[in-house]
Amino acid sequence: MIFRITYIFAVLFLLSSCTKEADVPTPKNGGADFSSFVSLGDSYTAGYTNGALSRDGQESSFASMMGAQLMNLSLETYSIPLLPEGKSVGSSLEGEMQLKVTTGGIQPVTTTGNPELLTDPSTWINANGPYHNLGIPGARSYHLVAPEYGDPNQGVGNFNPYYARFASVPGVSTALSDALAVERTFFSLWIGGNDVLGYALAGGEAETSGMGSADITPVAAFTQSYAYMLSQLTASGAKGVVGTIPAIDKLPFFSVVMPNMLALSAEQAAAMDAAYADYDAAAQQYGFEEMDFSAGANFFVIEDEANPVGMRQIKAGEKILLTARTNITVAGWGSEVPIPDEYVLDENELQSIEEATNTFNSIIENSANQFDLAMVDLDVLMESTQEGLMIDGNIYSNAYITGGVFSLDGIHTTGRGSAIIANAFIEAVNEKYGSSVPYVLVNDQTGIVFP
Amino acid sequence: MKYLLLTVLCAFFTLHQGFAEGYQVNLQGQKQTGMGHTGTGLLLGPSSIHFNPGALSFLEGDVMFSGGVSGVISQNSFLKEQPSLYTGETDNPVGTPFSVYGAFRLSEKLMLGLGANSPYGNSLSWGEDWDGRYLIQDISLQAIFVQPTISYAITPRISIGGGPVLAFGSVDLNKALPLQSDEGDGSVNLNGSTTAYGYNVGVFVKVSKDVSLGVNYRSKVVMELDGGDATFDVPESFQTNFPDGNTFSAELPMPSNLTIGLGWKATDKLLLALDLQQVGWSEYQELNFDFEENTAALEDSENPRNFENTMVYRVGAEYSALEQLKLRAGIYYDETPIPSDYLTPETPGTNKIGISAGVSWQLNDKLSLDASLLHISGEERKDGYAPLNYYGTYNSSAWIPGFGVSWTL
Repeated sequence: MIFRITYIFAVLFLLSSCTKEADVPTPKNGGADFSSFVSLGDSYTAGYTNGALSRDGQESSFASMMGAQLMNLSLETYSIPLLPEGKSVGSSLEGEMQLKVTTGGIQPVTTTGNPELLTDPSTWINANGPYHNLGIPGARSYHLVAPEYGDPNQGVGNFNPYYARFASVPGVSTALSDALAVERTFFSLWIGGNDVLGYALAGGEAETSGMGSADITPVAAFTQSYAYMLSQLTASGAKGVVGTIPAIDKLPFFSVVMPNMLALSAEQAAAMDAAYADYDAAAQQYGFEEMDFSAGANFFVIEDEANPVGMRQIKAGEKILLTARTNITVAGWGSEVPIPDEYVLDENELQSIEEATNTFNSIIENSANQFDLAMVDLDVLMESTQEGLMIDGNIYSNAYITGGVFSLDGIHTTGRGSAIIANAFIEAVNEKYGSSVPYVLVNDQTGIVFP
Repeated sequence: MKYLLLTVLCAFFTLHQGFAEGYQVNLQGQKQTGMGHTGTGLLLGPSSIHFNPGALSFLEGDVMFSGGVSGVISQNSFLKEQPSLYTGETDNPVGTPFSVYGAFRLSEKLMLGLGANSPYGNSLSWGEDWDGRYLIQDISLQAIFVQPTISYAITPRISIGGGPVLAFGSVDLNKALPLQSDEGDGSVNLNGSTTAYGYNVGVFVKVSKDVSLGVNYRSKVVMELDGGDATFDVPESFQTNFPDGNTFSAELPMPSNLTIGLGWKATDKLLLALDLQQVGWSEYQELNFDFEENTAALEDSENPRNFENTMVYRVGAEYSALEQLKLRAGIYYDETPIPSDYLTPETPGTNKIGISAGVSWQLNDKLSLDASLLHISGEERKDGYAPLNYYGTYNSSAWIPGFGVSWTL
C-alpha cells in the first residue's frame, strides 16, 4: 500500500520533471566571423534622428543595435564616436526636435542644441579612436573615400564636421581608411541615400548628374567609389552586408503635405477662380490647362518654369516638401502665391530620382553579388511600412509622427524604426551566412515620445 | 518494468502533440479531482450537483455536504520567435477555486441540493514591461456559479436531475498601449463584473450491479458585461482622446459541456471511471471591447479568437485500501481549443495532460477528509497570434493541491 502511494508520487514527480521551459538557443556564427565589426554609412548608420545627432540616437542607430546584438556572439567591442550625454546638434547647428504642446496643437519644436560640438575642435574626439561606427550624417558614396571631406582647412561648408570631429587624422583619413585600420572580420555598408536625397531636398533644382551638394551623384563616381570600398573592405577576407537605397519619395518628408490638401469653402473657391481669371484666359489662348477650384479638397498652385505663365496646379503623384507646410498656412503658399520650385518635386524630377535610385541600386546589387555579400533590399521594407507593418502588437507605418517608424524630421528613423531596419540587416546576414544573430526587441526601443 | 512505464509516460508527456483548456477549471470536487476529474457516471457525494445532477437522488444519506478548496500554483514561460534571446515568465498569483455542495432528501425518490463553485477562471501575470505587453500584461478572470438542483429517481435504476445556474463573473485586465511619453508606454485597465444564467441537467442509469452510466449537459453561460470601467493612462497630450470615466461592454462565453461517464466496480475494492467530455469552445469566436466613448485615437477593440470545440478524455480509479482509507488516481488528456495563429499570451493554451492522485480518510461514519493533488503539464507549443504578429514558444505547467471535507447524515 505504502508502495502504491510512493509509486503514484514518483510518477507525478517524474512527469513534472518532464515539463521544462524552452531552452534558449546559443546564437551561431554560421559562415561568418563577427569578432570585429565596423559599419560605414551615412546618417542612418550614425543614428541621426529628430533632426540632429544625439547620444541617444547614436546608441540606437541600426548599426549600433546590430553591434549590440553581435555582442551575444563573438564581438568584443563596438566603439561609437559618442556625443556628450544630453547634447545634440543638427546639420544646420540646431538641436534635436521634440514634440511640444503649442498654441497650434502638438507640434515638433526645434531645440537650441550644441553647435560647439561641430564648430569647436576642442570638443572633438579624434584621439579616442578607433571607432567601429563610421556613420557620417550627410555623406554620399564618394565622401567615404575623400580625405578632404573631413578636412577643417577646407573652410566652413566645404568639409563635414560630423566626420572631422572623430576622423583619426582630419584631412588625411577617410571613413574607409579608418575602417581598414580596424582588424575587421565583418562590416556593414549602407550608403547612397544622400546621392539622391540632396537633389530631392533641394526640390530637384539642381543637376541630375553633378558633384554639387544638391546634385544627383554621377553614375561613374558612385560606381567607382562603391566598388573601391568593397574591394578594400573585403581584401582581408572580411564578410559583410550592404543595403540598397529605398524609394526616398515615400519618406514622410515628401508625403505629409499632399498635393490636394488645399481645402476651400465655396466662397473661397469662387474667390480663387476670380483671382486666377487672367491665368485661365491665358490658358485658353495658349492651350494649356486652366486652374480648377471647387468647394472641398483642391490641388495646390505651384511654380513651374515650363509653363508659359510660370505656374500651374500640382498634379496627383507630385510631391511637396514638409518644409513648405508653415508658409502654406501663414503665407498663402499654394493658393495666393505658387509654392516655390525648390519646395516641389514635379513629375520629371521624381523620374530623375527614380532612375538614379534604380541605377545605384543595380550597382549595389551587382557589387554584392561580385563580392559575395549579404544584401538588404530596403525598398521592400519601405513598401511594407507604406502598407502598415504589424510587429509584436503594434502597427508601424510611414505616416508622419503617428506611424512610429520615422522621427520628427520625417527623414530619419526613430529608435523603433532603426530596430526594424537592424532586424532586416540581421535577417539578411543570417540568411546569407547561416548564422543566428538574435533580433533586436523592437518594443524595447524608443519611438515617438509624446508630451 | 515499472521504471519503463515511467519512462514511457514521460516520453508521452513531452512528445505528444498538443494539450490545453482555455479558461475552464477542472477542480469541482476533491474526490473527482483525485480521479482525473471523472465522476459523471459515479456516486461520489453531493458534488454530483456539478458533475451530474441526475445522480443526486441515488446518493446514500438524507443530508449531506461536501466542500473544498484548491491552490493553483501555475507557471507559464515564453521564448520569443527565433532568432531571439528573449524569454518571459509569468508570476501568477495562486488561484483558489472552491466548491461547496449541500443536499437533503425530501423523499426516497426526490432530493434537493444547492451548489456553488468556480468552474471558469484565469489568472496570469506576465509583468508590466515584458515584451508582449501590447497584447496583455496581466489578466484575472473569475466566475462563480450557484446552482439550485432537484433530482428525481424515475425508476430504481434511472434518475434525472437538473437546475438553473446563476453565474457571477468578473474580469480585470491590464495591457500597455504603444503611446510613449518620457515615462514610457501608456496603458489601459479594463475592469467589470456581471451576472448571467445557464442550466445543468443530467441522467444517471444503474446499468447493472457493478456498472453505472451518466450523461450530463451543462449549458453555455454567456457573460455579457456592460458598463465596465475603462481607465487609460496615456501621455498628457493624448488625454482628451482618452476621456476619464469611459466604460466598455464585452461578451465572454463560458462554454457548454456534454459529458458521458461510465463507472465500473471492477472488484469489491476497485472502482474505475471513464469520462468523455465535449467542450463547446467554438462559442468563443472573438473578444470585442466596445467603448462607450470612441475618439479619433480610441476605436473599439476587436480581437478574433476562433476557438474550436474540444474533447477531454478522462480515466480514474478509486481503491479502498482500508475500511477508512480510499486512494485515488487518474489521468486526463485535454485538447486545446485554440487553433494555430490564434494563440495569445492571455490564454496560452496547449494540449495538456493532467495527472492526479487523491485520498479520503473516513474519520467516523459521518465525516471524511478528502485531499487531492493534480499536476497539469502543457505540451510545448511554438505558435502565436497572427493579428498582432506575436510568436514564440510557450510552456505551461501547474501543481494543484486541494483539500476538502465530506459530511453525510
